[in-house]
Amino acid sequence: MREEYLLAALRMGAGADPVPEGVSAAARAVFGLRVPGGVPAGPVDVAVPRGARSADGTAQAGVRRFSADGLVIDVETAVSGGRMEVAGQVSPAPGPDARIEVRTPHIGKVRVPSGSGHFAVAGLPPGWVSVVCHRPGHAPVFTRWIHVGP
Amino acid sequence: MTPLDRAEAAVRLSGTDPRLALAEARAVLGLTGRPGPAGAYGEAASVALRAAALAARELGDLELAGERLEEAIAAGKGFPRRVAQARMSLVTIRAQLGDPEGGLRLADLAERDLAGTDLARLGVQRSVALILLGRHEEAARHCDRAVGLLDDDPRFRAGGLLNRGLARTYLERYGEAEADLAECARVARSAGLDHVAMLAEGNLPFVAARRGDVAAAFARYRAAEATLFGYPERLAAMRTDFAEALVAARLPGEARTLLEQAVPELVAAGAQAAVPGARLLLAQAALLAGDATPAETTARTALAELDAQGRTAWLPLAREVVLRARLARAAGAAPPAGPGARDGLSGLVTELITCADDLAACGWPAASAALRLTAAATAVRLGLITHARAQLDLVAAGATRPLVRWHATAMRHRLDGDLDLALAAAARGIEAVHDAGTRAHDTAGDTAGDAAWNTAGDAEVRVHAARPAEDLAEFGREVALDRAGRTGDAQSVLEWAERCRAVVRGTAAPTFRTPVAPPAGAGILVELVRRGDDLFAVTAGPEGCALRALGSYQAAVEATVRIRYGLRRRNLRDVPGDADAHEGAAGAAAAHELSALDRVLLSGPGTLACAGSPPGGPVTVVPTGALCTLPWPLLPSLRGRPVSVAADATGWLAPRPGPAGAPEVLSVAGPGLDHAAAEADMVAAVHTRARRVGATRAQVLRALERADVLHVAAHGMFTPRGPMLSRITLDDGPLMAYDLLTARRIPRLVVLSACDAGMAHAPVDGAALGLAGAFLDRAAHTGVAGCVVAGVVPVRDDEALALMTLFHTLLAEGRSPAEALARASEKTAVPGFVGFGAGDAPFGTG
Repeated sequence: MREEYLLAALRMGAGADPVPEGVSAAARAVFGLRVPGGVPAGPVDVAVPRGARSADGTAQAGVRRFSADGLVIDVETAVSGGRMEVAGQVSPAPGPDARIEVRTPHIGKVRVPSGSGHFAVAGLPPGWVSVVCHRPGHAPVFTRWIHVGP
Repeated sequence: MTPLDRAEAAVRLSGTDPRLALAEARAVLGLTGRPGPAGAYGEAASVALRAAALAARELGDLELAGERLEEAIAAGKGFPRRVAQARMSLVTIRAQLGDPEGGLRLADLAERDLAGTDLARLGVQRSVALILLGRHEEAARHCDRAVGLLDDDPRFRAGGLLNRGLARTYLERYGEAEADLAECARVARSAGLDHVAMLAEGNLPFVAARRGDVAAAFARYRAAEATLFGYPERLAAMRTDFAEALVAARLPGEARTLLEQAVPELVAAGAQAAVPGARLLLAQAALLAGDATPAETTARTALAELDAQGRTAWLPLAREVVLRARLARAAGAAPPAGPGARDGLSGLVTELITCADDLAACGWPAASAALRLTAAATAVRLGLITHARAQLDLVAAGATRPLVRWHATAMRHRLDGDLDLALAAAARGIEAVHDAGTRAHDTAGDTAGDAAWNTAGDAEVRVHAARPAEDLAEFGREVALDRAGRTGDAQSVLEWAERCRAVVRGTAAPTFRTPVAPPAGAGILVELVRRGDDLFAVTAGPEGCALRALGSYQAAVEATVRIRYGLRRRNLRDVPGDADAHEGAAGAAAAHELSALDRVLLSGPGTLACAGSPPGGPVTVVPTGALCTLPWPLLPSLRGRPVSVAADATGWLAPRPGPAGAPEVLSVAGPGLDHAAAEADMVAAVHTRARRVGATRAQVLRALERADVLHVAAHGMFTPRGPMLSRITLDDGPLMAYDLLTARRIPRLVVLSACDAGMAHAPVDGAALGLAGAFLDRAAHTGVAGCVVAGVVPVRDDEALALMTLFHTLLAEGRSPAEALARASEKTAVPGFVGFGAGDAPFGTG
């Protein structure tokens, strides 16, 4: 970090300057994006698949895998016609009482996963997205926020 | 040679070789000394500075050009004509730097000291500022004079023709605009002004695309892109023009891709005048692509920029995009809850009406009428009937286009509750477009000798009338759905759904007999129709038409996304955990999903079972929206049946050709695959008249023009943001979807044995997008009812070989492509391939 930025940060930290209004608003907004009591699922590498007729693994574009608490959450995103599609799978399949929540900063949509743990949400605005798996009797498991360009 | 002669030579040279002109100008300035008035050499210095400015302008540095001209004005003190000439050159630069009003003031100053042909030259410079101000009639008039007087000055004559061509394009006089641009290119080329010729040609994609001739636009765009490579600002300007064409041609994704390159380039070049226009276009593209929030932000930025530049005539255009984006966001949000939200919307109606008034006042009558209709429709939704009627009366009385007047009339009839009259008026409006299109087609040949413009007539219908006609056709479809709710008349829903698709494609809608009488062997038609989130199916067959409500469109789309997700994971062999143990479970889960969606879409009453189709007979599906990405043949009701997925019902209604002789089959194996060569060899071996051809772009494009059946086994890539940028990998580079738009002939059957080659995302039903769509659209243009077999998910290299071996064996036995695909898919259990277009006509066996 450049010295002047550090000094500015220190001044702000010391309360010499007021925190700009946008900063505290953004901080409050970020607070609202947490999943209280949830378990964060960390990213897991996805191997580039072989044997498909798609150049340079492009078939795997937009595919991400997360894992925590014995649960794997696969998330695949695509943007078409300006809208984001989010599809994926929770495995092992979490059972009929589970709910999958696909969240953007402003909209959250909840779906019942299929018997094999598949879920999909269409018609979301492109941008930041995160998936949360809610299971009765378990803490919710959430993926980190993924950015999907328009 | 005196320094003054050298400086004047440098001015002339600046158009043909700006770098050399710059060197010459520097040399003269070295002799005369600069800056500042230089006594006896002042005149030469002023002219040399002007030459340097013109060269800088050619090289894309507008700021520098402006500075040099200011210096030229200063240096020319005491030589009024030289000062006036520098001012004259500064008119355009100042306008392009974002101050067209200032440019016009300079022109007035310069005019006093100019005479003869210099006045004509000044007219050309003025026209640039006038075009930027939206004063197109005046701009064209100034150019008229210049073009007549400047026979011995090819550079300005070409400039005059170029600017008049642009002005006439904005005035929607396309034939004259093309003639001007063609003449400009000719004049410029013969004078060695190659890049002016390229500018003229670079504007041809713009005119072509405004007319809707996207194929010519793409071809000309690529040629122009290569030539303008060293001129970043011109290239960016050309990209912007081309993007405008793409927006008009319903390719907003492709337009956005170009504009996101062009806007920063224009900003970097200091082309202030071009920036807000490009930005506004970007906003329109985003809005058309359904991305209202960035559309509004971008349009607001453009609005502020236009305002700062004093371009008042353009302000309502930017405001319109802002308002339409707000309207789209309001429509996308939950229904207005409570009086607050309602008041907000009725406020928006007032703003829409004000903006329509401003548009009319600023000389944009077509945009004004279209926005009034939008305002009226919004007012109707909110129950503000008086507001709505007032706007409809205005449009019905004042709009110049019959289509728009009929739209207003139809809306009034609907308000009166007379749906029959409303539909009749809407139909008259659509007919009016077609009449206009036929007339344009008849005259297009007179104005342009170029064969590329032969399709201009119907293309003109597409763009000019396309948007308003699409709105009207959608209105008709909505009324037909309402009416079917009262009368049970499913056929008119089908007719209006087809009209909507035909308007988008720029073709005539098929005519239906009552009752619908499909030709022998056509089987059942299932056409999906959407109104908001409500999905409907019209099923037609020998026993008539039926309409059925299928529930939520969004739910069907999400089921499609889940099904495709499962298939992708399966085909990429990426199933979580122990693959073998899970494969059975995954198969069962996929079957469950497919059955559930089948119940929604096809198995209920009023669908396949009731339309008089023999079990196992052919089915043509005309999907809507994202449902075109569903692997339809996997739905239980369609398994084993010949299924054709089509963009409209035209193919279903056409008589099936009888089997001809053995087809000529050509096969191609792309690079980097283990089984592609074996597959191409297999294809060549199975058919009697068949052989492999090389996998270069040129060979494949040649094969397209020869083959009856073309089989391509290669890597494929779908680009969801710009489906026309989807591609197939060949030995020497990709074959792009848009490459196909210029093919002179397309085989009756194209098999794309590649990943995702059948994928498409159409912003509107009926638009042909993606690789398969591009093939079919081009085939239709060349009079061929084509069929494309392609995957809508990733395809496994080894599995494709197995499926295709059986497919081609059945095809060679004389089965239709749809039938061969149905049987081969069932037998090999390889999922994901779909037959698009006219798949149910058999080939001969020879």
